[in-house]
Amino acid sequence: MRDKYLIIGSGPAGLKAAEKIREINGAKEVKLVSKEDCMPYCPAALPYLLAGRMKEDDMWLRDEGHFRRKDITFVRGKKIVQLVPDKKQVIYQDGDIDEYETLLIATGAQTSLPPVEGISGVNVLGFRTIGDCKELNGKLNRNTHVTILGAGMVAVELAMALIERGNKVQILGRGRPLRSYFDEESGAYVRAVMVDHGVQIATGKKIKRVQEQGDTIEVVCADGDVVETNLLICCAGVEPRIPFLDGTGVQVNQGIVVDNRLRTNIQGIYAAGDVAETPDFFNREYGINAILPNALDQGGIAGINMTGREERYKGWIPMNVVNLVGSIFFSIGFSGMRKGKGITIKEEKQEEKRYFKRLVFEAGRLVGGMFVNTDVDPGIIRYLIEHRIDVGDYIEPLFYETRDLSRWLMLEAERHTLR
Amino acid sequence: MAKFYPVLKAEYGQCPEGCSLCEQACNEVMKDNHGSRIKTLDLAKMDFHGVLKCNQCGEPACMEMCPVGAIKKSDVDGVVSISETKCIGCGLCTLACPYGGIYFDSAAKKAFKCENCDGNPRCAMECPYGVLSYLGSLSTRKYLGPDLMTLGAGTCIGCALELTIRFTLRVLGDDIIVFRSAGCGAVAMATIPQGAAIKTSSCVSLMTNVPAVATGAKRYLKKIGRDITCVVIGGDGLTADVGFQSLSGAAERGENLLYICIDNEAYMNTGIQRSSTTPYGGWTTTTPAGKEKKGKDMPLLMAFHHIPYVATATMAYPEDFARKLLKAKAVKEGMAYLHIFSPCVVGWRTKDDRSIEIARMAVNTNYFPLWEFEKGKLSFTYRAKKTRPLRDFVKLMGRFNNLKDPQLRELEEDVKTRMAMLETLAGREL
Repeated sequence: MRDKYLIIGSGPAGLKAAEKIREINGAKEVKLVSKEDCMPYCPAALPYLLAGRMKEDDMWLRDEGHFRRKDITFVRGKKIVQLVPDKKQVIYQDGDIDEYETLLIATGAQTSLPPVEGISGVNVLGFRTIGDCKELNGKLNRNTHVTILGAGMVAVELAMALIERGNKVQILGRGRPLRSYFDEESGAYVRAVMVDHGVQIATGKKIKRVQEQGDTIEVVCADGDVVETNLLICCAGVEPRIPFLDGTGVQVNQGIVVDNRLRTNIQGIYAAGDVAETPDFFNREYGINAILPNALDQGGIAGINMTGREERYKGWIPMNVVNLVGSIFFSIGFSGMRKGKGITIKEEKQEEKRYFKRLVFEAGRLVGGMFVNTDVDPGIIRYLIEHRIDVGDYIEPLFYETRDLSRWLMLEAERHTLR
Repeated sequence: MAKFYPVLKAEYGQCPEGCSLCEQACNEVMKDNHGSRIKTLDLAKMDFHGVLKCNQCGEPACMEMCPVGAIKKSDVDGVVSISETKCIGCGLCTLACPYGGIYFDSAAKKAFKCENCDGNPRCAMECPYGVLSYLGSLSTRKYLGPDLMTLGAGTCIGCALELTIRFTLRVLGDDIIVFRSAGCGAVAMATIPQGAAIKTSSCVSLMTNVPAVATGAKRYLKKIGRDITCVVIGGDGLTADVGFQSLSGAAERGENLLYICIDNEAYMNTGIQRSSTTPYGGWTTTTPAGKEKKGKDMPLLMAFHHIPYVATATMAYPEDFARKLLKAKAVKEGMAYLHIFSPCVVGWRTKDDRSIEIARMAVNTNYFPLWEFEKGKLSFTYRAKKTRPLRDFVKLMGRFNNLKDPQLRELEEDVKTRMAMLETLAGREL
């Protein structure tokens, strides 16, 4: 019996899974539960909301009518506090109990504060939910100085959004901005664009202590530097949002550990999205790559498997596209920072134009790329990598005319002439 | 459930070198400086000249990826469009689309894509080479009734015959009796339990006498005052060889039958032996070096029986096909004859996803021109904007592998002669 589906979390992964299940079978009930009291939205849009490029009303990906038509029960503002796998039950904060036959955990990740002296005594904001975004928006006025801890994707997009609003922004990071996507050289362009637009960036910083001084917050670094600021936002650490898993026996490492069909170690329980730790595409190594494309992939595949069909997850590929004030940064796969045997790297650059192109090949296949202000179709590069298209005979032309050759290779592959 | 919408079709890699008329047309229409929504791909080194465009996918990856739901697929015409006011310019959709159908203007912070010009794509109108065409599936669907075949298929993978029969029955409706005999058609119409079966009445007889049996049934039905169309569905072997005397006799007597010949140009069901419609140079197991004689021109032969309606059709042009089926069904005095071109994956040694493409190419190279003969007059129902060289058709199939240049010229000559003959006849009283 797989008649009653419960999905915790209505982010992109949960939403996709619910719709996939409905698409495939006529289960009695598909229930989507969100702890936030709002319609589903995509966290990737939050920086744009903060920057004022869109209205809050445009955030919602689905409306009530949509769920009615699809026959999905959408419950909002209900937080789950405990999962009881033996009885196949979940317990809500208000004491209600719900039963399920198949469960998907897609609760995403939440901010985890670094272990810094005094941090619990200071109001540190996060930036992961629409609630965080609204809280931040309420505290901002024109002269607010904001300090962001961390230099990852969220930190960079948040910083640019704040700049767009006219605020002063300081980034304090352990490493350089977007270091997991771009190497030293191309990453320098990211930094340069940000600095050009007024973001102050300090990297290699370890925070020693934070303390409140009247209206301002003092951040004291290990090297003695002190940053005075009005608002402190932490984008440095994330952890899976799973307070309800205590004592359930569900295996958790960095995230909930799942196999290539997105199943946890307990039968009938699946996990997908930022909360799940899954094998990667190239080496089947476990890890979390908390980005939207992977969340969507995982949500879809979890949905299919939950209905009893078999579909295997190919594994995640790190990738990202960022548009920073007209400069497009695109990185995918092994972008050459991890060296290995039999890997061919080809690159070219023009510093004055902030242009950078790198393609990484392994055994005749494209396995990664890094592009700054390069005219390519990111989706097509992704296609060539994901489908392991044999491009061995075309490495040179593909490098020199990347856009056109990749388009042609994609078309040929679609015609089954390359596989 | 997947729905059917009109599509902008681009023939694969068939553009002339250096042409960018579609891009110019698009720029002219869009006028917003984002650039063309259709991209030409001119790769001299790879000997490839084609276009890249949005497929208006059934489950658009870009729509799924968009974090603000700015991309929508229309229920009415299937077009995937981006709301310019909602687009926040994150660029994630370009990472989602594997087909290069969505583009990003980083300065304007907007994504943009082809939206089919509200059902009237300018690029397709301006393409003089027949590479781009706008295929309105909606107009075909209005001809279609309920499916009169059970699920499944008894035919080989990729066979056009199954589609042809399913389509034929959907257009004709269930007030018919199907008369049939041995052949691939028999497999396609009844292979319970492995394959499919037709849901209309049907009668099986010998290959030599199908039209005669149908004649008897039709005369009886007429006598008791019932207007039921008697349809004979047979292959080229049944029509042009084994059962030709019976067909010819019934046509000459003016029997009111609808005769449909589904021509795959050899005896495919028994193991690919030559038939009299196998073309010059075509490989079969009994003509291993290629056939030395020319194929029989069946539809013209039937036209010279002076019956009220004769037409040629293929599944590559379903709208044209459906119209002809209905015209044929409306004939109440004398015989109507339809000759359907149906590629065979196994016998023609082709890839299993090419049947429709081959049929379309057959029409565009004049190998199988689409025409009808009605009330004594012959007219073309479709002419390609630009006739393609026969080589483009021949190279799609393994059965012409033995064809050397002189033989290819001979086949070309044959095709030309037949076309010239049709052109001479067109518009004249026969």
